[in-house]
Amino acid sequence: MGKIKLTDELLEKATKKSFENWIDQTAQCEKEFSPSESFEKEMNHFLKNRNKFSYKISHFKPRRSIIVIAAIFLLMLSSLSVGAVRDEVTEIFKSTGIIQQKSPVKKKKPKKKKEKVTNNGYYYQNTTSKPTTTKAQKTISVEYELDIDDLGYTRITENISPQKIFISYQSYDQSIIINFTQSVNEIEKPQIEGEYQTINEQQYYICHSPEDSRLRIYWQIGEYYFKLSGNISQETAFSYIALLKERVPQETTTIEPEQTTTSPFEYNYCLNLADYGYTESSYTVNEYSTSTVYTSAEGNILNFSQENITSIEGRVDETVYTKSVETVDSIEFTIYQLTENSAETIIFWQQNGYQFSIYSDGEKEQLIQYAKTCIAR
Amino acid sequence: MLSFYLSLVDETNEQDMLVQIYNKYKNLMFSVANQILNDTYLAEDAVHNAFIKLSHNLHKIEDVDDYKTKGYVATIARNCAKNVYVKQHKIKEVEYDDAFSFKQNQIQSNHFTQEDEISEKIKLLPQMYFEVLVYKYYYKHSGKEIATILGVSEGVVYKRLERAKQKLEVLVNGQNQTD
Repeated sequence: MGKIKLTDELLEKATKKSFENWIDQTAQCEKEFSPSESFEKEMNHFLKNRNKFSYKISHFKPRRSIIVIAAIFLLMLSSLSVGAVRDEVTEIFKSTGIIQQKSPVKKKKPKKKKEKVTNNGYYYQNTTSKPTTTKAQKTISVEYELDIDDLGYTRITENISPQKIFISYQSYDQSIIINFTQSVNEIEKPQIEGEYQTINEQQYYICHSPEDSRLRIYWQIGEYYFKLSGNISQETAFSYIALLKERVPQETTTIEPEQTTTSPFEYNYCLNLADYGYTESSYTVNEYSTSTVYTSAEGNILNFSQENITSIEGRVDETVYTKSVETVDSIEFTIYQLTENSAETIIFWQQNGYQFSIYSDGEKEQLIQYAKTCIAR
Repeated sequence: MLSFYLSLVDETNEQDMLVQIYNKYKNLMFSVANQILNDTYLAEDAVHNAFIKLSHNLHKIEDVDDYKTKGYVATIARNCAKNVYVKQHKIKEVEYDDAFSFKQNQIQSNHFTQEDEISEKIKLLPQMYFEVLVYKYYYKHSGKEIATILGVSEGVVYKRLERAKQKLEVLVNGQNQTD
């Protein structure tokens, strides 16, 4: 038989045949499922309460979205001082797309001298050149978070300050990391080209970096600026943005750095990064791991975790990250870098019977230096 | 407050659809998951995860009773079961051992078309390649949609599609392709 050319039409027909054959065979093996009581209970709860976390922005009905915008508008109006009303109203109209900016991308292009700081692959404006304004004195009065815990995400980082909230979510299979930020100050956008999109009267700035395959979305609601980034599609990102809700502080899991708690481990480890300009901003313990977040003066975030020895096989998508192994001072570091040019790096190593990891931006040599400061608390 | 406004949105139809899917396909989904996990509790976990994924993709389902829906829920259940298995055993994705299991079809007819031949070879593909072909050519999903379902980046989807075709080419035409 001669060579068969795999045309789309042929693939379509053949795939249909194979797949329908698989469905039929699978259906033949179908057995009566007698779910456990706990499963029934959980599923009933899920099926009944699904409407709580299933909204997609595309499903907003125009009349209701107007109600939403109007309600937010009235809330904001009531909280504004008289002198600021006009400017704030203009801002709200701009952010909701009622007033369109003529050339939004051009207007938003930063003109000031840039200073690269290693924070999730972003380039931030040199904050020292900014004049001090009353805006910096604002604090967050309504804290938001993404209601995606029920969608298989766990929080690996919660870094809460009066001006800024940063929450990092990880999918249950550890393949997706979503970072959510709420701030009273405008969140600087990366240098990669993005575009403005108005969806249901809310304006979003969307950047998709081919370098690190991460989507970044920026938007503003009233006085707050938001950012969501993650290795997810735009559609998924917007479905998560629709799940924005008021934050309920999880006091049971997050504790102050100075406090000591019952530890699942014999020793809890930390990084001694004071000499590198980092301070510990949050420290979370659960029965399987500890997670510590360090923040530099420039706002760079470094995640450090400790867990019982476990395999790291399959944790990082090796089709996206480049893996390398380096031994420094008899410690073997397994390094994953997104691309050669990207600063995003994950480093795993084992020490004293524990598995440690660092996830941050920065050169691997620098992160290994940080790793070497690992000490018991 | 925002969540309150969001709760004004009516999605009763989608919720009803999810309940219908549960009632109609829970046995099938559980069986698929249990075949892989061989543990009823883990299979329940997988089915639960599958419903969370489905709740995100309900807009892709037109008719609960449709044959396509049956296949769709079965693959999602299978995918979730595989993820549970990988998590439990902390293993990397297995290639040929993890292929969709098909009973051997004996060729009954002399009239064995190119389509039949390719169909048989597709069954030999590793799971990750088989599923991208199914999502692409059977469900006609876009790269972005497939990426969402599989929880990988769009780039990974295209790479898998490309590799799936390459592997299939080798299976169909052999290593040394000559005309």
